[in-house]
Amino acid sequence: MTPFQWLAIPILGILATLEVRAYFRNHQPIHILREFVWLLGITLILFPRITTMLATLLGIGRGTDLVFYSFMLLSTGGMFYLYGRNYLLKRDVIELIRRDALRNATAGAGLDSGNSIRQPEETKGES
Amino acid sequence: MSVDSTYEKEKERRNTIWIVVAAYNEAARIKTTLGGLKSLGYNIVVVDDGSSDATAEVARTLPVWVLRHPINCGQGAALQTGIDFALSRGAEAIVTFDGDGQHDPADLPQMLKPVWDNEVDIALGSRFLGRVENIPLVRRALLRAAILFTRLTSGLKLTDTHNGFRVFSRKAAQTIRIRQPRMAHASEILDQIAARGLSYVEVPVTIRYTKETLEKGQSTWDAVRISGQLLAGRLWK
Repeated sequence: MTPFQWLAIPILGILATLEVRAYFRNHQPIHILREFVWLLGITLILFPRITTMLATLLGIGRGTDLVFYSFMLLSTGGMFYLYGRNYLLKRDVIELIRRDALRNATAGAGLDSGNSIRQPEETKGES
Repeated sequence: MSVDSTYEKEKERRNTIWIVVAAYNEAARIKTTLGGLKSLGYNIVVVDDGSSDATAEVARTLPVWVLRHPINCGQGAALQTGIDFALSRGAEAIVTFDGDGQHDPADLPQMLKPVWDNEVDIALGSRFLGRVENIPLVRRALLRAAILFTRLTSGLKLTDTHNGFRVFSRKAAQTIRIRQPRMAHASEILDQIAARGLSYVEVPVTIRYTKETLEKGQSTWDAVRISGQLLAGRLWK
């Protein structure tokens, strides 16, 4: 085994063990997906020829290129996912800001006299 | 019918018309804009969209309602806040009016008429049917491109698609929900008009561009950004 394998495999092994423990605690499917990623990492580091074999099968040629392309695709997917999450989160934040603004509406100078609309206090809880 | 009761009826009628003014860093211009609107006698709600200047403070010196977003959320978000407020106050017609003074309050009666007479659900201002002053060529070209874009995406045949001067009936304001917080809301409103089959009419209005309004206006890059925002809005509902 190479020094890199000695270094990386125990770390991935610990992560894989923690993932199993987390799955049995809360039964969230995301832990199964992560477990698969850690185990795949261990397998590919232990048997680097597998990536070369897969790359040849896919017509890419080099194993490193396969890893690079996979990383690029996963990164793009990840960015897309995070953008979506951020977009929806921003929408929720705006809704909270809106509720706060509606609760704290203030009447400008001279609005009260002869105006039939309610005072700001009465708007509380309406939004 | 006595003069008093006619006056009371007219006053009651005016009390159900609300003007929503979204304002961001408009302390220098908001007083003039609101002054022109106030003389018409309708309810006004100003939504200060997280301005770093004294926009809200200046607005509070006038007989208008002032709502404040603690941070800048965008014109679309501010308009929806103002519309929600107006609806909660029993508005029967809601006008959206830009805070920078580029619209002319004198156009308001003719904008209101088709909605108030129940002829249509929405009246949309059109600078190209009316008058536009000091518009740069690039801006004109961008607006023309937006017209084409709207025609392709929503099927609406309009002459002006990014005009902030609109009048919604209560029904229309309740039906349309602006979810695009920033400038893409203009296209989103049109998409919703088409999708929900709301009736509309374009009304000629005047737009006056000044150095300040042009500085705050949209650039070519914004057109690309708006397209991106619209796409994101369709992907993540």
